[in-house]
Parts: sequence; structure tokens; C-alpha cells
Amino acid sequence: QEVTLKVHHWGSPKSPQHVSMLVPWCEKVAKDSNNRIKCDVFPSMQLGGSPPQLYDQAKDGVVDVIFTIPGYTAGRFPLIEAFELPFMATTPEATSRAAWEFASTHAKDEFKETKLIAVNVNGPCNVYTVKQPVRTQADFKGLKLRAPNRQTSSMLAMLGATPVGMPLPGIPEGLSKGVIDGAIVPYEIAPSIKLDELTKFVAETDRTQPAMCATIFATAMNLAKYQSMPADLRAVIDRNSGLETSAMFGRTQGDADVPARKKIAEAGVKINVIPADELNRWRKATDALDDQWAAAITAKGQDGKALLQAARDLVKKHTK
Amino acid sequence: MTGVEQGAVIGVLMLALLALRVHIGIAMLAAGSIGYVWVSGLGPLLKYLQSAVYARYSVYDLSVVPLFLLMGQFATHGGLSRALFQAGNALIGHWRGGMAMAAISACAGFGAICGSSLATAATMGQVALPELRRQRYSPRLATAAIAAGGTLGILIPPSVPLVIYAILTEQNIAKLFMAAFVPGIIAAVGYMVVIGIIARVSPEQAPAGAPLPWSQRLRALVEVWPVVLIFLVVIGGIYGGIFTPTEAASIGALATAFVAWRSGGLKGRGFLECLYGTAAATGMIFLIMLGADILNVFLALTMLPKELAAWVTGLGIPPLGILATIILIYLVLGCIMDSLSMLLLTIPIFFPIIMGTDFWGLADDPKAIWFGILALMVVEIGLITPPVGMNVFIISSMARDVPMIETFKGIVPFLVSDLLRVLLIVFVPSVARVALKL
Amino acid sequence: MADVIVDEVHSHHHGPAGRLLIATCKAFAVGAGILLILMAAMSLASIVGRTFLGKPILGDYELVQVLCAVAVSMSLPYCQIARGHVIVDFFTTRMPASVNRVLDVAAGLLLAGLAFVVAWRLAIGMVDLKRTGDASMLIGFPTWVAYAPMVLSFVLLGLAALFIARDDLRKGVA
Ligand code: NA
Ligand code: NA
Repeated sequence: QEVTLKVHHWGSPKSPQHVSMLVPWCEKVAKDSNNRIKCDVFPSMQLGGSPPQLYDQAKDGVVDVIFTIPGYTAGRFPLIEAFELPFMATTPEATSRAAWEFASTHAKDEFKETKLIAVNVNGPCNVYTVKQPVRTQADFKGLKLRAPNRQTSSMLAMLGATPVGMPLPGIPEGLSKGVIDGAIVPYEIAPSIKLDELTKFVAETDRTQPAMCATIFATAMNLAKYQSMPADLRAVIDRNSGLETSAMFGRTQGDADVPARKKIAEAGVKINVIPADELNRWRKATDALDDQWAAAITAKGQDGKALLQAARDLVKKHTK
Repeated sequence: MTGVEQGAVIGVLMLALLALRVHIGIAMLAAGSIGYVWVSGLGPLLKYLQSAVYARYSVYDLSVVPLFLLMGQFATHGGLSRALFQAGNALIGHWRGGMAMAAISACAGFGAICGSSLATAATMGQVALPELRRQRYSPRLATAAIAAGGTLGILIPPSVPLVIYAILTEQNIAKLFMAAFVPGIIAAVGYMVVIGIIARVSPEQAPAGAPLPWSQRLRALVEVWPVVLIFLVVIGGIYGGIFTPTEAASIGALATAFVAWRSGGLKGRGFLECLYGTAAATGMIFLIMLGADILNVFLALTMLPKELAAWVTGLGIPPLGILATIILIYLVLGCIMDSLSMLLLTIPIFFPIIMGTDFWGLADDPKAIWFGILALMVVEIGLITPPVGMNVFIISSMARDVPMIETFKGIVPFLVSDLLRVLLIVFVPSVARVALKL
Repeated sequence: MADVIVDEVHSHHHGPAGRLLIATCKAFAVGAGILLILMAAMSLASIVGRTFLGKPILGDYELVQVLCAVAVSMSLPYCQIARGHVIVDFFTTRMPASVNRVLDVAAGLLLAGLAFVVAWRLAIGMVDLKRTGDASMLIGFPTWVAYAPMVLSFVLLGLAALFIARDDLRKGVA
């Protein structure tokens, strides 16, 4: 018996997510199953719908496997959002392991309607600006910055900036029209949205410190499709999902930062590193966000404080 | 059955439904749904329909479409077309064929604040047609000039089909608008040259008017200030990097509403008529968009666009042969289909082919913009080609004493100008990029 | 293109049910237009905010998306009742009028059927989105709220198609 999986995601066919994560995952699955599991990978939302709908496409069986950003839909995956809190994530690989462990224990209910393949975070975010560099917290004041997710948006407000919401492809236009003064993304995405041409400064955080922000990603499979497969093929999927797959995805996305950073630097964008003591000030200024998150979780009937601690402990455990 | 064969079967089914008078959007939706069930099953289709409509209709960039349509309605009810025509006529009406040229220039001016061709043809027909007839222009030239001039509504930005192209191919709307500007001006000048030649060859068709004193000319020119202002704010704002297209369309809609209100155009049922007109045009476009979405997802599932692109680029046909074939397909389809449906139907198939072929060594983005302008030009020709030429239809409905065949005959020289312009852009792609480099 | 030639919608030829349907379609069209004007006003407010106060409206992109989806859906029924949806009539112009009538009735029924299917699926989708608490990213606008007017719009589109089909049928008989 042969199975063909329709794999759907929003990234371009040239994105690291497509080239270095999903296609290799498919090749690995094909190899482990002696070519009895095959994938058709559809990038760029070719099978319709919008990125926030990807998770439901896997849940409902419109497609078989999806790669998405849970934070696209606020309120849907509140627990896993803990890993998007400021200064939570360490290295992408370690944080992805922690996120997987958290998702498969504490946040199990959030993903119970699909067969979860992986949960990972990307590399640490940086602040790209057009007019002036960001060196201290005071520099945030009055800056209109595009935030990648809800937690980062709140964080920016606490630092004194004005968060602006717009889809990722809108960033180049937003920058050139002054709708935003800058954007917050990891290196890996920056060249694809022309930040190497459109911005002049990057504030990179001291990499020995936790990341100021990160975005969490999920790869999920339709449950019925998984259950309909024979036991040996299910075992192949099991072998290619979980802690190690999450770690691999996190590492891959983090590794993509390296060539992108080089490209940014070569384009003449000035990189300045925010030292640990300044970062500590930012962390204090945004501490309330942790409490807000915990309070929101507690309001939903779970122990927010304990869950926050659990997430922190897991990151610590997996970070060597 | 291979994906390409499945795609072909469903394509034929869709064309059959079209021929049997099914609405274009519904023909795509029905054929696409059958194809979807064939490839993926009924369950996935029903699940997909839960979210497809919202996904299709909630695209940020797409919001400029209803906004530009609303803006066009306000402009029509605000009497701006009359002011434009009178200004043009005051300036060049005394030339041979001058009044028809003034109608063309007014179409171009109206096109600069209106995103649709039929609206441009309709409003200019109401304003200019009676005047041209009174001046004893031949019915053939009078009707043809306005039908052709109406296409400037879309050739000159803002332009609804360009928005759709931008979204389908993930290109920048502002850049496409900018790129369309110079070719749009060339189109207007080309039509004026055609009228000038006709006026020379058969002067009885296009008499000259009496020159006006300069005081009157100035007064007529002053009357067009709202158009100039709105154009500067909207298109200037997009070009100048001040607004996103959605913001520019928002400001444009509010500004034209203000002008229409000041001129008394919103009195009585005027305001409601604007909203009804917007709803009718919006509804028509977005039903087609929904149908095209399902059909295109089905095509993606069959991998037809990918395989076809690989096959065509592997044939070793010279690039210009591929381009000529695509243009020919558009011209043939344009005889019976409308431009938006054509773009929605074909761009997902043709675009990968174009991007996989080398044209004049163009890089990806310039090539995508160049092909967008080219596609816009050729699909717009369909508005004035028989048997189904929507612009000719609307002008005919206003000049019932002129047989439609007369108008189609009068269109021929304008078509020649269109084809020459297409050739110009094919061979000199930089024409479509002049404004981008400024 | 992006244009449409519409028939004038005359209520007085029809019975009370027909008149109510036409009035509802018109009300939806007016509602769509007002939402578009609101959307434009909000964009303007956001521009003013970011230019003069340094603060755009938070979530303006998300609100435009929601308003656009609702306004566009609410335009669909009016377009149908005004016979504004485009058809290709080239192949059938030389056929007898009665054949064209039959085809038009069939096309109308097909449109009605598909509109009701879409409305049904949208309703299911709405319930599912409400259950899962789906909301927009920054301001947390609940997605299901936008679905409610869309469901009604597609039901109304189906009814409008049935109404026009019945009208065609009558003309065919007469
Ligand atoms: Na235009
Ligand atoms: Na035609």
C-alpha cells in the first residue's frame, strides 16, 4: 500500500522552510518507508486558503500535512505562545526541544485534533530600522515597528514603540511608504522581504542572552489520514516526528540566519549588538508581559504561573 | 489519468458550461468543484468551502478593488467626465477631429481616477457622444472613438485587472501601476493619432470646431481641478511613496465623494445609485474570484501548471514564439470573454511559463511587471473586438440608430494602434519600466 | 473590464415576497457601501494618526481584511437581482429564445444550488471557528463574527438566483 501526502505551507519554493525543512523531511519519510510514503509539497498557499487557516486545513483533512505559525490566530493556542514571550527562547534547537516537550505534555489539548509532527522556534529576532539605530530602550520611543506576533507587539508597546500589524509581504511597501519605521524579524527572513535594501540599521541582541523574541511554528498532520495508514507506515511517521524532528527544524531555521546575516552585512546595513546589561533593562521593562500571560491562562482555568515556570524550566533543561 | 489530462477534461467542461450561458464565476466554481472532488474527494471539498470564501475575500490588497469601484461611481455622479471633456474640447476642439481627440483625452483623464473601462466608456458616452453627433462626426468614428477610449479606464492606472494580476503573481501593486503609466499615455496618444489620420484621409468624418477665446479655454481648464487634485493625491501618493494602494484608494473614494456631494451629484437617489453601482460591480468581480479560486486550486492539485510549464520550456520553442502564442490565445479568448476572467483563468498557467523562459535577459521582477503590462494590454483589446466587445455594447445602447457593425468597422484602425503598441512593448520592454526608473 | 451592465430593479412588477427580497438585496448593497466608506474613513484616520500623532490604529490591517470580506459578500445578492453577473451568450444568440430561457433557468438553479452549498459550509465553518476561539492576530477580533453576515449573504444570493430563475421561467411561458 502506498500513501501520498499533500504537504501545504505558506513559504515560497525558495524559502529555507521549503528547501531545507519540508522537502528533506519528505525525502527522509520516503526513504524510511521504502518509497511507500510520498509527498507532494505545495508551497505559497497553492492549495488555497490563507495562512491562518492552515492548521484547520490539516485538522479538517483538506490537506494532509501543514507547516504553520500558531500565533496567526490569537486565542487558539494560548499555551504554546509561552515560547514567544520576551527573553524566553535560547538557541532555536534547544528551545524547539523544550517547546515540543511542553506541547506534548502541558499543552497536549491544544493540538489534540491533529497528529503533531513538530513544534519549533526560529532564530532570535533583531530590530531593523531605516532612520536611526536602536541602541538603548529610549531609542524605541516613537518608532512604528511591525511586530511578528501578539507577544512581540505587546512587548514593543512596553518598550515605548508603536506596534503596527501587517502581513509579512507588506513590510517592504510599509517601509518605503513610512507606514512603519522598522521591522522585527530574525535574519533568515530579512533578505526575502528586502530588508537588506530598505533598512540601514540592525540591532542584534547579545547571543549569550535569551532572545528578545522568537516565533513558534507547528507542523501537523491530519489525524484520520495518520490513523488510516498501516502500522508500519505509522511507525515511519512516528519516527519522523517529535523531539528530534522539532530540534532538526529549529536548528535548520536557525542555521539559515548565518548566510542571511552575511548578506545583510554585505549590503551595508550597520549591525550593532545590544549588550547584556542593556538587555536586562529591556527585560525588566517587559516583565509584566509574563504576568499578563500567566493571568490570562489562569483566567481560562489553568495554573498560569506553574505553566510559565514549566516552560522556563524546559528551556533551561534543554539548553546546554 | 494524468494531472494534465484531468485538467484538460475539467477545462473543457468549464468551457461547455460557459457556452451554455452559465455565469462565468459559477462555471468556474462548478467545474472546479467537480475537479476538486475528482482529485481530492467530496469531504475535502466541503471542508475547503468552509474557509475558502473568507480566505479569498479577506485579502488586504484586494480591498482596493471595491474602493476604486466606489471611487469611480462617485466620479461618474460628480460630473467630472463632463468637466474633462469640455476642457479637452476647449483646448483642441478646433483641430481637425479635435473633438474626438478631446473625448480620448477626457477618457484618459477619467481613467486616471477610475479603475474600470466600462464605467469610463459609459460616462464618456453620455457626455461626448451627443456633442460629437451634433458636430456631424460620422456615427462610425464617434462611437468607435469612445468605445476605444473607454479602454483607457484600465490601461491608465488605477486599474482593477492590474490589482488582480499583482495578487495572482505576488507582485507589488504600486510598481505595476507605475509601470502601466507610460504605456497608458502611449495608448491615448496612439488613439489620437488614429483620429488625426482619419480626419486627414476622410475629412467629412471628422469636422473641425470653432476655436474658443483663451479666456474661455482657461475657464474650462480650471473646472478640472478636482480631477487633477484627486489624481495627484491618489496616484501621486502611491508613486511618491506616501500611501499604500489601499490607503490611496480610501482617500480617493472619500475625496471623490466630497466632490460629487459639492456638485450635487449625490442628491436624491444619487448616493444610493453610487452604492448600488459599486455593489453590482463588486459582486460580479468577486463571484468570479471565488470560482477562479476553486478552479485554480484544482489545477494546482493536478500539478498541471507546473508540468505544462516544464513541458513548454523543454520544447525548445524560441521565447518569442511562446509569447506570440500566449498573446494569440488572449486575443482569441478576448473575442468572447471578459478581461478579468481571462486573467484569473490563465495567469496561474501562463505565468510559470513566462518566468521559466528568458526574455531579453530580464530579471524576475522586471519580467513579471513587463508581462503584467503586456497581458493587461492584450486582454483589454477584448473589450472592443467582436463578437462580444463590452465597450462597443455599451456605446451601442446609447446610440441605437447606429448599427453595431458600423461601430465595429470604426474600431479597426484603433485595433491597429493597439496591436502596434503591443509589439512596441514586446520588443522594447523598457517602455513598461520607464516610470519605475525615475 | 471589471464592469457590469445592470438591469434596473423594478419592485412593482412583483408580489410582496418578491418585493421584500429585492428590498433586502438593496439593503445589503447599501450596507456593503457603508462598510466600504467606514473602511476608507478608518484608513484615513490611521494615516492621520501615524503622520501627526505617530500612532496608527492598532490592527487597521486586520480590520480592513474583515470589512473587505463582509462588504464584498454583501454585494453578491444585489448583483444577481440586478442580473449583473456576466455570461457568455455568443454561442446561443442564434438559438430560439425559448432554448435560451431554459438555459438561463438551468444556470440560475445551478447558481442557487451552489450558493446554498457555500452558505451551508460557511455556517458549519462559523460554528467551528466559534468553538475553537479563532481570532485575528493583534486585536483578537473573533473570526466567526465576520462569517455571520457572509452566511446570510450567500443565502440571499441563492434566493435571488431562484427569484430571477422564476422570472425567466414566466417570461418563457408568456
Ligand atoms: Na484607470
Ligand atoms: Na471581444
